[in-house]
Amino acid sequence: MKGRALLLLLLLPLLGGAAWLGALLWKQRQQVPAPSQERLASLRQQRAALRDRFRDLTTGANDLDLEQASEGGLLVGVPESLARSLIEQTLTGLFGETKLTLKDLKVEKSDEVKGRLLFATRTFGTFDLSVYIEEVKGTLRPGTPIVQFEKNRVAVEVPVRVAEGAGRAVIGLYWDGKGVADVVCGDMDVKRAMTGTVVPRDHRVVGAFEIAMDGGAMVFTPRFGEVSVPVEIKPSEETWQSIDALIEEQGALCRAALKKVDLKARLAELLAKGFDVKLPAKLFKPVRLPVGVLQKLTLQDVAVSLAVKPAGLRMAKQRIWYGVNVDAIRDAPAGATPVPSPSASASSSPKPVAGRRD
Amino acid sequence: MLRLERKRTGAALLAGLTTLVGGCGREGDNAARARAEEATMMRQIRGLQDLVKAAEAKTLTNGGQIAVAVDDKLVAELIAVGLPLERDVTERYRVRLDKAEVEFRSAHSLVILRGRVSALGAPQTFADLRLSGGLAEVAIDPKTGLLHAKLVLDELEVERAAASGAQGKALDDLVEDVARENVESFAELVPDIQIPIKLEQVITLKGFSEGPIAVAGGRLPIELKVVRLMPLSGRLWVLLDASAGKWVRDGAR
Repeated sequence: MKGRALLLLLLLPLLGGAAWLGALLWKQRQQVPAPSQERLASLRQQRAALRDRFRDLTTGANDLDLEQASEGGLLVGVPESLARSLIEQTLTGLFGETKLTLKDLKVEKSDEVKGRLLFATRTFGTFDLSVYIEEVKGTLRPGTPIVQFEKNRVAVEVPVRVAEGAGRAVIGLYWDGKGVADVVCGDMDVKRAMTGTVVPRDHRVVGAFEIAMDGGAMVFTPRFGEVSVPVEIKPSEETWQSIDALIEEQGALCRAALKKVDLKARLAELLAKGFDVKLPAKLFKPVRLPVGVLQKLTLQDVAVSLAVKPAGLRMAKQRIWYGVNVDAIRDAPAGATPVPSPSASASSSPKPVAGRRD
Repeated sequence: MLRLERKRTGAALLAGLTTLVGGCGREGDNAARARAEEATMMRQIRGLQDLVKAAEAKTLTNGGQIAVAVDDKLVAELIAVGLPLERDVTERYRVRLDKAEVEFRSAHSLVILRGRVSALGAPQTFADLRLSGGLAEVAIDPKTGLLHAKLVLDELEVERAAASGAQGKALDDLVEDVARENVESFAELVPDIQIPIKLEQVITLKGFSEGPIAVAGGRLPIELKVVRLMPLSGRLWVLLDASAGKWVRDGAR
């Protein structure tokens, strides 16, 4: 026991020495020598060479149009391909499967019917033919728009198909017989129910979107003017048969007079003009690009207002650029006057990108 | 989320600490500055190497990417507007930051925050504090769509204040104590940097009924992802991949 304690006593200084030596070595390992001036010069040279290489690679490079950006402390470049896709998708998305409902519409046609009778041309009578639409339902379907970027605007042409649909109407015929026809036929005021289908037709809606800044965002504002598409209705086979039946119900001379009117042809002609459906302006919505500059922020629990001033809008080869200058103003507590940032070294100011190089 | 390569070298930190401790430091200011310069240049070189490599491969950017650029002065202003910022650190010090400097050059972002540090309980003894670092990540907040950048500290410097409230041993002790602190102890001081850009990840259009027309509303999802940061020529360039999805009609699954 005594011997063991003595051994420990002898070993203690040795252990202490080893610990001190270890600490010293560890510390030395941590001490990285300062770089020599040659080393720093070499690094500076390497950095300069890399800068030059980067400049050479990017100057005039087709895939980098950052140099064509507009001016401003804050710049946003939106690829033309994305803007195109957004316009196409929102137009066809919103326009797609647009439901049309025509109600309480009326078209009419009046004319005089003349024919030869006993060596002379005589007036048989006059007619008023009308079609009253009770309800016709149809669908508008857009095709892929043709989108053309121009200076500060985007020209758009949207193929629109008036697709399937059906409805019901009332055909009215008022016949006012004259002379002999009046004697044999008299006056007639009849109505027949009509069913029919919408005739599929293709149309083109032409307009544009103006590109402008709105606050901190780029907005494509629609300019389409007044747009209407004609909807043509084709009577069903039953409708034609009911008109035939109407004529057949008359006496022989009266039938002859009505055949002169050629009711079916005149009805077809009347319906072929179609019913103009005016498309509401709000069918073409403004497209706000998905990158906007904020006008309010909370920084370190401080409410900050950002005064955003447009600095430029530029259509470059690949991107539409817009730039803004921003001044940050700390919101004052209620009742106090807002103050600019206390220790901002300078407010952001426009800086041209082109020509600026490290 | 994109993370800039940021290898914190013990050398730079050690150099900083050694310099700042004044009397304790065995090496002079020149050696510490040389190490700091070396560390900074190495980071710049790594950044430039990445950019050159991408430029050679023609993958630096493509025409389909959204580009956002923010001026270094604007970032400085946005940090400064939240200053002064006063907080207690490590339950020992009170720090007040009141100045910010930002520089974006040569593929390197540099943010310097300046202020004062004092010992808790002895506010009359204070020293000048300089924290420096760079932007480590830029990301889109998935909830708000805001673009924000995270600042990572590289260096801490503390020295006798130009006009200290107290002189002598108390100040020397404070300077030495702070200089020994790990720079990461001060990380909680660093403000999150907001780039005042909001990215919409969906475009929503309302349906309506007017006259003979009835239109169903819908939404268009947009996928956005930060893919590259380029601190160049006084601006921080942020490149984002962006693509529009398919229109989803209201009521559709």
